[in-house]
Amino acid sequence: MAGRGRKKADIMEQEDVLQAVIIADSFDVRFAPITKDIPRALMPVANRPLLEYTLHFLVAAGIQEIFVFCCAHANKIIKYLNDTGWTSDKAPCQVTTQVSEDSLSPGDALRLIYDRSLIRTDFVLVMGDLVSTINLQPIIQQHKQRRLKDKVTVMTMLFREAAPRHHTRSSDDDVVLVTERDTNRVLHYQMVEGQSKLDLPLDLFSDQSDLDIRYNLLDCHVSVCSPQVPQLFADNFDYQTRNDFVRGILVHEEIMGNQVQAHVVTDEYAARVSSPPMYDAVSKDILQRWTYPLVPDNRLSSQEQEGFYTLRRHHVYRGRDVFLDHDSVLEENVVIGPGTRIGSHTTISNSVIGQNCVIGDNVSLEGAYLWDNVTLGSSCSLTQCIVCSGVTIADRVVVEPSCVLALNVEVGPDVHLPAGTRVSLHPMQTPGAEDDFQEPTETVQHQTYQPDRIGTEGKGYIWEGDDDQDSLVAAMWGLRLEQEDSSSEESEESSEEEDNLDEENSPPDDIRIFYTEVLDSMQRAIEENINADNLILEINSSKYAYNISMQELNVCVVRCVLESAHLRASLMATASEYLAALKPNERMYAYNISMQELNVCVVRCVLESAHLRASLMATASEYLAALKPRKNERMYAYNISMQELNVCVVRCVLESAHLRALLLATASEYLAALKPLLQPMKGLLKNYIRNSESQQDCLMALEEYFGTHLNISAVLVSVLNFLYNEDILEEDSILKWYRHTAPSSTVPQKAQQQVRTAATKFIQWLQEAEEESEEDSD
Amino acid sequence: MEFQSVVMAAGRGSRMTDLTASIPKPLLPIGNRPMIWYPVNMLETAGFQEVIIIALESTSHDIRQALTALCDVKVSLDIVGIPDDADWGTADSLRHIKDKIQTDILVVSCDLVCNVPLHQLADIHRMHNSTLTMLLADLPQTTDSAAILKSKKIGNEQRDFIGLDGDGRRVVIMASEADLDDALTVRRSVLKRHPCVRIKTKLQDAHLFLLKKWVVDYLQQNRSVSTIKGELVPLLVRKQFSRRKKPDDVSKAGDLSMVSPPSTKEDNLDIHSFDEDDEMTVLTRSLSSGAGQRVDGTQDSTITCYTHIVTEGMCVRANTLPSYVEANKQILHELAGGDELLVHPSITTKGKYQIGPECMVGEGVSLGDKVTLKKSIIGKHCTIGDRVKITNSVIMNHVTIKDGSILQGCVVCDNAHMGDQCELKDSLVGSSQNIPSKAKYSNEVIVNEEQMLEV
Repeated sequence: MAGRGRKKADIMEQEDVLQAVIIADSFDVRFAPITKDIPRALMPVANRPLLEYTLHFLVAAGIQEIFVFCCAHANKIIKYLNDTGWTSDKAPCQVTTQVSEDSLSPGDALRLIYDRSLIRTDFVLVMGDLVSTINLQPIIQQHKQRRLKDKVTVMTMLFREAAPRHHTRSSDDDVVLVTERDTNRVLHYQMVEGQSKLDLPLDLFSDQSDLDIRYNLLDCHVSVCSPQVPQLFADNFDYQTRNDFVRGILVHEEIMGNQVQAHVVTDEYAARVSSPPMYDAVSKDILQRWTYPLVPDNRLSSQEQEGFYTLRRHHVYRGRDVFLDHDSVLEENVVIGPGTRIGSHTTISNSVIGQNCVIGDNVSLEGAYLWDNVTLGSSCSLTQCIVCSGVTIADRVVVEPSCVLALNVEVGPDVHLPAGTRVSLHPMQTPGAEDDFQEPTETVQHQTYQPDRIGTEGKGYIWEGDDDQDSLVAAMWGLRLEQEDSSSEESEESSEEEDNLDEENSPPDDIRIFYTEVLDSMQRAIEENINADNLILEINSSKYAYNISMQELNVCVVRCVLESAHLRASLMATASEYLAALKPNERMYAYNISMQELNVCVVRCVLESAHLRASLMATASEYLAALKPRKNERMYAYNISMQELNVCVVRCVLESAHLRALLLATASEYLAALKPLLQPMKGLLKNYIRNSESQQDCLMALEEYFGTHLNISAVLVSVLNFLYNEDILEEDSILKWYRHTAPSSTVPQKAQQQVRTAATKFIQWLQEAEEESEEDSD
Repeated sequence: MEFQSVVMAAGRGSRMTDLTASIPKPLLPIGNRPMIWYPVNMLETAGFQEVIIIALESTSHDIRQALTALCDVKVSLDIVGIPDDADWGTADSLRHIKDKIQTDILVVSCDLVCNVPLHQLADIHRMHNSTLTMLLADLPQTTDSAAILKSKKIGNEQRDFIGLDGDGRRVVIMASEADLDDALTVRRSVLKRHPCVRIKTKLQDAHLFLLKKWVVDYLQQNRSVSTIKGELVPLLVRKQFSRRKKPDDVSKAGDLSMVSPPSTKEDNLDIHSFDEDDEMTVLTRSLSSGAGQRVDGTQDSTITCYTHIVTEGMCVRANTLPSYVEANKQILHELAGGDELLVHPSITTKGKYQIGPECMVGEGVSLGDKVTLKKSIIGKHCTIGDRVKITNSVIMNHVTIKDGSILQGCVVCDNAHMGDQCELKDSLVGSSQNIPSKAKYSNEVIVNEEQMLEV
């Protein structure tokens, strides 16, 4: 019985155990060449390995089971954890290492964790380079409660409030977050590094009316994850990083229904040692006690000795047995490790010095990070650099800012290392092959040291960055930040100016290209009889390529449909076929075209046909004549009334006939030109001239046209006759028009009268016919 | 005099043409008073002695008549007529009266019905010495009134994206949905200065602006800006974050940064050059330790845009048919609690009648037997027959409604005539329309056929 009870309790416990995953690999080369020899997680920060801070943070949060995922230098991490007793029974929580040799990204790591099915409950995911004092407990509780209510929240991301340009904000984590104000739900997540502006899709605003755009957040890469997070990583092989994951969740939110939550802390500390400038910034924060209780003089575990460091004024921490010669000054924010000896007339500020270092006389250290067992000659000057364990620097060496001296390098004497120099005992490999996690190989061809650059007693290779890396390193160190800022402001200024130009120029260009492309594909589709579905796919892809809005797309597609129909029609030269070509085009419906847009397009096509005919036939003046009567800009505007449309169609038909006749210039010849044209156009006209109002419009157009071209007004009779015979115009309408002279702005009254005189013959015939029919019926 | 006030009343009401076809927009009755009385009264209450009204020439006489004779307005009115055929925007109108502007100005649209004390806005203007201070309303919009003409949605509801900084007073982003394709663009330089921007889309712009005098001078130089809301305000909001040009590159950069094409030398002037600091400010700045840097981080631009957000009271713009109905409804609601007499004593009645609390009945109305009025406004000299029921409606002047008709959620314009036993629901009856007996309409606009805009 007792055994069963305990087992049950065990299960209960397992359910409630708080788990955490530390990704103790950076998967980048920010700290190269240091990371050739030791993993980032074991780099000392304020004389304590980085991993120690992360572990203590999790222990303080009440985490009971920690998985340390290691990849590069896995054996070193395992050895460290064993040596320090983290993996022993006495440790405050259960720490297990998970080793993978072939993981290339945090995504791979989570997939591995999923494969090994280690996660049973909500867990905390952190990177192995985190220094934080956030109290995780309430955040985990909130996360769990949210999950109880609704399972949709898969992750709570932690952010720390930090203004832009805050020293612990690393440039590669420059994130803009859009959150819902009431719930802090993440709606949009975007990296803005190097971008002068940010585009927020309008979809964000469709549901929410109150949002925050936050640029004052530091992403500390701590997340409280639901158990399905590793599964989601496993399902989506393209998720490499957490950023991919978050973006993926947000993009597929509607389909998958998963949401991401943000939690912003304001008072507590969190930062990642993700690059050398961050190493600098975090170290200073630790010395200035922002990270309390994670400070050098505080004993974190039983492994550490009591009173290892003593804190004095101005944040000076002195270890045991430090020997400081006369006239040496420890100005402020300094840690001196135990057993270190410092010569006379030496000034040290904002620096960390490891154990058992030997520093000569007249040395000046400002922002220098010396690890253990470093030997520094006399009259050296070091500014803002990382000097790894076992390095020997001979006398009179000047190290400019942003230098890195990797393990056991020897430099000097009398050399000057320019800013950004990196020295390592490992020769630099081809850029492609150098990876954080690659073990040094012996087969590299032997290169000689360069005594002129690292000194006659120097041992080490200078790592020259290729362009890419150079800028990376330069940007990594904080020094250039200010310059960068000012230049970016300049560019912002200019981009603003470009903006105005952009707005005017680029979109129409894109549309034009897009239009021709759609037209091409459509013509090909017609010629080769390609399936409409494929065509739609093709058009859609062009849409994305040119970033065309849906509305523009619709317009373009209809235009193209009509255009291609027109091209076909002009080959076959009949309008009935032209309309026939129009109708089966179901694509029109696929793109949801309104009737109005269609009308506009039809009008435009007719106009264009007028233009084509004119240009075939004739001179530039005629070309102008073909286009002038209608302000074609207005045609593209979308609100053409039915009346305008009718007038326009009629006029266009007449116009194109007229163009043909212009050369001949006599009424009879015009008639000859018009006749073959009217026949095919009747279908088109029938389509638009349907009721009595549109008939009046049509008649108005005729009147206007012949009123302005009085020399051919004789043709009117035959045109009227034709339209009457084709049942386009009804008798009543014609008579009504004939009797009432509507005032017109374009045609003088006299001309109107003349037009009517010209039509008299037809009217008389009409009336006679009417009387006859009346007589007949009598 | 600290501010001059300008009422923009030259709009044609193009978003509610069915109403404005017969009555000019400023004179449309809201709560039996012409619309323009509300902004003028607000200014009068705030202590203005003089109000400049910009109106169409054809309506200016009527407006003066309406305000002074009918509504007993005491402030001195300076009505400036602009030609009826000139299609001017609000900024064009400001440019027109430039010579009258001596101080900072308060610009208000004639369709604003609002009971917000103006000093709140002025306080913000003074406190931040802002270039532009605008009034925004964050009020729950009641939607049931929009039932009228639900099917014919008049105009797309265009939202404004307004970005406010931390304390919600400074406007840092302003964009209208109509101007955006599919993304709202935010500059990083804006985010650097205001790292936490709150974007609200449901704020209603009241079209009430306090502007520095130099802005009018700038308008005089830059003729391409024609509207205040559409162009000037977004321009000012944007220019908060651009830098003041150095004197030597003004000529070079001016043409690029300005919206206007460089036509004359004066056009090239940078917007910042209009905002000259007085000597004391310059001296203060030079002596302060911040060395030109302001507390809130704006280094160079002295242009600042602030807002006052109304969260209680009423604030409606009656510029569309639904909002016109809404304004009437809210006015009734406001007045119902007050001591003003809503039912004019001169009405004549016959037998029993029932008038609900939120009702207003104008002068000389005659009510038939068993008339029921609920939440409605009846204009002057209307004749209401027996057993007529009117709910949620606005009836303008000289309307005749015969026995037994039922109106619900309708707007009936002047001189309309309705026969027996009509049933109208959520409809609009144009002026001088005759509704035959027993007609039934729901969700329709009944106006003169000539006015109909046929598609």
